Amino acid sequence: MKPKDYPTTQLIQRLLAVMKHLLPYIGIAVLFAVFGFVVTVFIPSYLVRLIFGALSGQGLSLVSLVVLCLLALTRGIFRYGEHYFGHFVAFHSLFDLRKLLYRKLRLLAPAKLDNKDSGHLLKMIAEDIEALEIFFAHTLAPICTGILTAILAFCYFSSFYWGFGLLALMSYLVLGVGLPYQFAKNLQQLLQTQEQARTVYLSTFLESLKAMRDLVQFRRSKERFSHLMIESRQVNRLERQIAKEQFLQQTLTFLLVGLSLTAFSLLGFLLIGKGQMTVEAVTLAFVGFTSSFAPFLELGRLPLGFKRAMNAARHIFTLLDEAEPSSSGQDLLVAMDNVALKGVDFQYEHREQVIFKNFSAAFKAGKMIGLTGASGSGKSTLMKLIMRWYDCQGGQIALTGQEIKGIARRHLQGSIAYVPQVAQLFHQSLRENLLLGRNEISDEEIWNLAERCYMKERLKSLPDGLDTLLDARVTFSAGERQRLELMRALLKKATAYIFDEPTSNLDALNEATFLSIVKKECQGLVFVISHRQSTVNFCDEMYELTFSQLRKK
Amino acid sequence: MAEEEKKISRTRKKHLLKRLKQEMTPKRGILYFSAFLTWLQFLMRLLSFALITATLVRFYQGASVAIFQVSLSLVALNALGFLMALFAKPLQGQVSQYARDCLKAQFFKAFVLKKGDFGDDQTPADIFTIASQGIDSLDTYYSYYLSLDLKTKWNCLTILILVFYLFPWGGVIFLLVLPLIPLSILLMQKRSKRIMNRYWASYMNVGNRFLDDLNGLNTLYAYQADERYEEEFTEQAEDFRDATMELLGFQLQAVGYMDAVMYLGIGVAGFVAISLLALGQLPLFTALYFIFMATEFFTPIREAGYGMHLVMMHTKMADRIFSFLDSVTDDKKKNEKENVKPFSQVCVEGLSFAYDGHLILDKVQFTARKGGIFALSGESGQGKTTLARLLLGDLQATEGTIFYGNQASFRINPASLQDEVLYVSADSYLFNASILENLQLATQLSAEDIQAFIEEKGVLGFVKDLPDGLKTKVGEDGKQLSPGQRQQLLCVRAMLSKRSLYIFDEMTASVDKENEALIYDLLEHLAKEAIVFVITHKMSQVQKAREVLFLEPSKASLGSPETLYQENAGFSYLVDTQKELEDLLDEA
Repeated sequence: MKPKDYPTTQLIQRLLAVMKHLLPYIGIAVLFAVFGFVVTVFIPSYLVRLIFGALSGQGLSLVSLVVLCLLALTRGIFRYGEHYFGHFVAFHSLFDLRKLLYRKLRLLAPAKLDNKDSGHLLKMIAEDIEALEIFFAHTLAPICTGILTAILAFCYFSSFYWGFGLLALMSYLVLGVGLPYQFAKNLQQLLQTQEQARTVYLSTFLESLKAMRDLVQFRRSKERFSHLMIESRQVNRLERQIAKEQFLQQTLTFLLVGLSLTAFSLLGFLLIGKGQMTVEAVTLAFVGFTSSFAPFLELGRLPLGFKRAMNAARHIFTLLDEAEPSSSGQDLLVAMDNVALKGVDFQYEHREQVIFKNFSAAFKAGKMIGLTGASGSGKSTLMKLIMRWYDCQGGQIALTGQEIKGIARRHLQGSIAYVPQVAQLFHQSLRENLLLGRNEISDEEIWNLAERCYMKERLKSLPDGLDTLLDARVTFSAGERQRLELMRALLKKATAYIFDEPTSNLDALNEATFLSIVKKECQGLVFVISHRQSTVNFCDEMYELTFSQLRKK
Repeated sequence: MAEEEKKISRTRKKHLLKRLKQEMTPKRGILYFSAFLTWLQFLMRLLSFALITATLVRFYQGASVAIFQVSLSLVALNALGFLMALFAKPLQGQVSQYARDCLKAQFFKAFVLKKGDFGDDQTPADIFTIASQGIDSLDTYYSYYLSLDLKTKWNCLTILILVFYLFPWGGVIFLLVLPLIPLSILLMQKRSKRIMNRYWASYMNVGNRFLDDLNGLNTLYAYQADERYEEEFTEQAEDFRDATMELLGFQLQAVGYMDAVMYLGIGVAGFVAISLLALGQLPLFTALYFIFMATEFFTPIREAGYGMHLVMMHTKMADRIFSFLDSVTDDKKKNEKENVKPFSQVCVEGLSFAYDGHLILDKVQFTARKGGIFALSGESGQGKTTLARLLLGDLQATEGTIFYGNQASFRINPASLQDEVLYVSADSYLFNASILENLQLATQLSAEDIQAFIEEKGVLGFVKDLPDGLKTKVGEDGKQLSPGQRQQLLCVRAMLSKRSLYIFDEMTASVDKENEALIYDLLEHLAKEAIVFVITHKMSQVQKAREVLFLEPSKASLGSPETLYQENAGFSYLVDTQKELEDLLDEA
């Protein structure tokens, strides 16, 4: 998926629109942060006032102590509020974005995830969501806080003397914007090279791990590990460069804060020297200034996150803007007695290759239909047209005389059981994996079927029977997985079955077992796609597909 | 994961952190030196504050002030601090790199000792997470947290000493406030038990479920379950969010509390300072300087509070790392034993093996020579793989002896066995490299010699049809090859390694009939030169072997396939039922 080239301003506008309901909470977090800032500056200023009051002979009342305690308390509350609402936004945006994308992908199903790169696509989506979460929770709020506090501080210090206000504003700009921006530019380069080196290193590492047994047996493990160690050091060297750069940023920030304080105090000294300001006023301004840096120092890490977030937003909006497949058709009662294709034209979107040109064929229920042909000849595509995963661009497909486009695609799925080449097991209980929500089916029926599929013993051996959670600890062989998928299909009680290369990962024994179950159990329209001669030979009728031509064998 | 969270006790936590620190002991000097330099920069800041305060006091007292000199000194202090800190720049990351290198080296050693067998409940993906990403994630601990920790301690201590020197009462108040900060966190943790429980109950990695569901979205769609799954996911995710928020809200109270306590300390100490000032018992300089410094005292403590959750994460990771490392024990006394020499027959005498009090092999007895395939057969769970692991020296027999040639197993150093015994299964690994490079893993032969070997033996026929021949890339774990080609390659790689004994474990899994025959021929060929064991559940292959060890629940039967077929009911039943099934394919 190539991201569209949305301009940044548009991205921000759209992000804000999508997350409109979260904006008030971001506002609250910002408000708390700003109040917190005010109190932070106020407490030492108040103490300075008291000092000068005491010097001029005013008595110190206990009221001041109470005020100080109350201020400390509000400071705590504001800080709590700031963090609470910050996290509130974080977890909500995480939730909302996942929900949003889950729904979109569901509506784009099955075409969107119907290719080999889909695993990669999903991984990217997960990373993008995380980047956006950081944007909403930890980028937007600090920026707003920074702007508001800068304005407040400017007004406050200007009220002493305009030069103070200006100096403060300049310091904040350099510390909160200039310096981070400059470092982000350097760091981005470094981070990119580091990330690349790291990806290479990680894949070598994982490969070594998987090959461990063989490496030891062939006495190559030492060699391999010294090679890995070298790669690891290279990655680490890049990391150290980043650490150095970050350290420099930290030290430089410290220096700049020091220089700002120096400049501020010098300006104060000059004003006192000229008699334009009292010592009390200058001290008050200075102590306020020393405690005012926190919100701006927090901005230091943001530029990197911001860039990442914008890239993520680009990917996500590209996906969200994708057109959904047509939802034409009605929930008609579908019979699967025969399928007729007449003059069908089809090619995949964004791909040049024409799969079908004026293609016609007819199939009847009652026999096991074998379908063979070179890869890319369109065997799977033909099936997906019959299931209406895709709509043909020209021609007609009819199911028992009923035009397929008149049947709602979602509804049609109920009549067809589709078994893919690689079995798909979910991180759920075994029962849920087999039923996928068809909870009216009894355990007895499942066990009966398991027996007919030669799976009873195997499933009985699981720790919690049908309630066993299928996670990494439960391993099935390829043959067993395929039979589980077959059981799932049979429990669906469909009127048509489509098996897409079901035996390509099975040995002859498992192949025979699998096919004999199919022959015995599957009634109605049964398609078996395979490039394996032995599998196709097992069927009642055989067809070969080449260049949009179907030949009966 | 919920269990794991609860299990790490406080003593274990301490122990783990100590071990983490031990890893960097030789480089500790660098860490301290670097922290020292940054501390100097901080000291310069304290000095400039003192100078500014002194100047303000002089102004207040109406004394003359040399502004130019003061400004020069301030700039100089800043510059000096910066320059000194700059010396620490090249030191950054060194400690972390050293410690992580050490940990990685230990891991690699452990891998070799375990021979890639990580136990039942750990997949390579788990180990990968720990060994690579886990160790690298400790970078934040070594390069960020440790220096932050030192910074906090040193800076606070410096200020505390200063305050005690200038204004002892202030020091006392600070000391009184200090323990309130960690106390708050402890209190919060105790009180939040119920919320914790709810959190862990609703804990289920929603992120993983998101990916799991979407990965199988097309299946869900085909079974019309996608809508329901979306609803379920939403519900679960919302519940998790709510539970997290409840927990966080509670934990965040600690953050607020910490801030309140900190400013309370400043406020109270400030109030006392001013009272003393009013009484004339404290100089103006001290009162002002105290206020300037006070925030500097508490800020690093707050930062360290953030560090707390980092440490929690890292102890979890450290727990996994050290648990793994500790599970591997290096057998040091192996050296008195002799190394295995090439042999031409294996003799197993009265071999028994029990696991968890459960007898798996009972007095097994046989002799295997080269010349023909020796099949190990029987239904799964009858000890075929256990027997293989005994032959490999991975397991030690409960009773009985294996003679490799005339060397008895108890005299042999088990690690040396891998020089003469090779185990190959369909799970053996092919590197994402060319066919040639994968073959060269097993041998020092040149490309030409390998080519000649292949032609002479008439193996790997498919390579001729590939445009790049031996230079063809096989993809990750041979994914670009068909299962049959992949497994042929594994067998030929094994042949090239020239061992005395080979064990092939279910090499024809996922393979069609033609390839099965090719692989079997290959193994038969090899059996002329070495002892070859073939583990298989397929009786059609077993029938072609020269000799068979047929394992059943309580006994092991030895014989030629023909005699076993006649004499052993279990054996003949398996042969017949499997034949019936396979014939279905041929008839069609």
